[in-house]
Amino acid sequence: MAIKQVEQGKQNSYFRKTDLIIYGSILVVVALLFTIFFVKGREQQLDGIEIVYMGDKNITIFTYSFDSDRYQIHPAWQQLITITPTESGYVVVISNADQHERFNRMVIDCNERKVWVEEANCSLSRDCTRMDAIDNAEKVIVCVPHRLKILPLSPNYDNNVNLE
Amino acid sequence: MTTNSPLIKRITAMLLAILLLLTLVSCSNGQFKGSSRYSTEFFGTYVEMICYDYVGKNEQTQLDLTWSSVEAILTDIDNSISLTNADSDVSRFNALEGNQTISISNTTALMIRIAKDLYSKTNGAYNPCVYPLVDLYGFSARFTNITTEQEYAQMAKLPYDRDTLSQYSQQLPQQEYIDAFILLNDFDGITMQGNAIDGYTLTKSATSVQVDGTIYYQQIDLGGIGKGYAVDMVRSVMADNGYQYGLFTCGGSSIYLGKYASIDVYNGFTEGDYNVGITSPRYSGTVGNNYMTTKAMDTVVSSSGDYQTGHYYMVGQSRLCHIIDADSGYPINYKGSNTQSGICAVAIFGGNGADGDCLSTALCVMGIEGALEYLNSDDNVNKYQYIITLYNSEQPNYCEVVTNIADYTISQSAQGYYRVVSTTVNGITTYNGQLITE
Repeated sequence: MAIKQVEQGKQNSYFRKTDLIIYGSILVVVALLFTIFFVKGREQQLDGIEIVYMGDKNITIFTYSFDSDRYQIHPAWQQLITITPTESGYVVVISNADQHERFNRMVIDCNERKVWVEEANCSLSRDCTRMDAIDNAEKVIVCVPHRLKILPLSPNYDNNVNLE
Repeated sequence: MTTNSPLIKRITAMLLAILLLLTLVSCSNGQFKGSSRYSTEFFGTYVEMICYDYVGKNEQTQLDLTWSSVEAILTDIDNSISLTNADSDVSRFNALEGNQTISISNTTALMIRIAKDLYSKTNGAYNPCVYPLVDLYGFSARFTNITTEQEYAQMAKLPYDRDTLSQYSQQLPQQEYIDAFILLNDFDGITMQGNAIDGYTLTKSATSVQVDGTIYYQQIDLGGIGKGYAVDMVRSVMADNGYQYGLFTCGGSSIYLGKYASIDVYNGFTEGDYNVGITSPRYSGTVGNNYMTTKAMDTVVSSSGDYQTGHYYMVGQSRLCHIIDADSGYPINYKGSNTQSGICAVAIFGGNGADGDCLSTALCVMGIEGALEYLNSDDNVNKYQYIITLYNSEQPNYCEVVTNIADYTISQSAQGYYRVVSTTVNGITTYNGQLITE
């Protein structure tokens, strides 16, 4: 009688034990997927870099994307930027638009997804060569004397367009 | 309770299954990646395409293919109408004498047809035949890379060219040439025949003028349509390849704006307008030069004016620009030495790029009354949004802006312009403001 009552009770309950295990597993998978996606989205991975010349206007003179291993140079700067492939990436030398003897030598390490300024003749202290390498999307290197700004390639360009 | 229990189980199972499915879909499909930018030179200016794309659709290959199509379009246009390319259709046409004929590409033919349409609609305010006058004032392709006296001295000369480069900013061209070249302005005299299958031909009119023993024939310049036409073609290519987010700009004076897209971890994917900055026609400061901004997407924007770098010079206090009034033979707004007044800048939103490119130039020629009459005519009312800027050298720090763009979408910039008064009549707002001319 007692066993019968227990079995009756099991039949009348909302969920069996195995049901709960399955449902619980589904919820865990959903939670895991959500967490992975959310955390991945928050990672500030470096997609690439762009160099902006802060002259009369802020113009992007060079871009490089790690994913596509592709760089672009502004047509007006074709003669001022030289690119040399290396074992781990590229060395990019940017001559100054106003005074060509001035330069910044930038290293792109494709393996480490890292960019830094190796050498420059901008000032005595050469601050740009001492700044942290850009290895995530939150770091910037600025060379004030040469009016250059090296910054992470934004996944979104801004929504400002100038009609000339 | 006994009867409800299986039902509740089923519902619970279904809800969990749907939740799992939604999670999987959101993780695996349509993840917005960001933008890619391509650029090149075209018509002596900077051309740029920005496309926004998604992970998981082999985007780089597709982007590269899209850009290849764009480059092919630009090459085709260059081969058709470039004036620096001696083998282009237009260069070959300009080298003809009266009544002579050449065969032209379908691309050139299409642009000729558009040009003739706009020539007719604007009563000649847009006129590709002003090219001899453009050359007379020193704004033609021959002068593109001439910046020093040494370069000018080495340039092949025509009889009406000045002795030195500096003379262009010291005196007007000889009046006899202006009077003569006005007679070459009949675009209707140039005839096109043929069809897309058998090909087209273009025939120059018999009209000629003679000055100092040299005979001159009609010449045309389709540069006023080429950038806009390129924008139309690229817009089509971007749409065909599924890029509704992004833009294509041809030198900053002719732009296709799709939708702007952005993503960040907090707001997720969002789409919206671009902020379009309107260049101040007189401000020459070094930081920022927009005097107002407005918002736009899914449209084409065209601009013209007397302010574009390398396309004007000063003779005394009068600014001589590359936009020539075919009737007077003078640059727009020229009212005699030291006086200048009229439309100095036009921005048009809407329509297609080729029409907009022609029209923005034509409106400058029409003057404000003609421009507003045209824009508010039955055929065009509500077709375009526009921002027209008027300038008068007698009040050099002052300008008037006439627009039909809603006031709330316009904001003034910190540099270049300060709005002081605005009035709106029948949907057309006039801003009177101080123009900063640093």
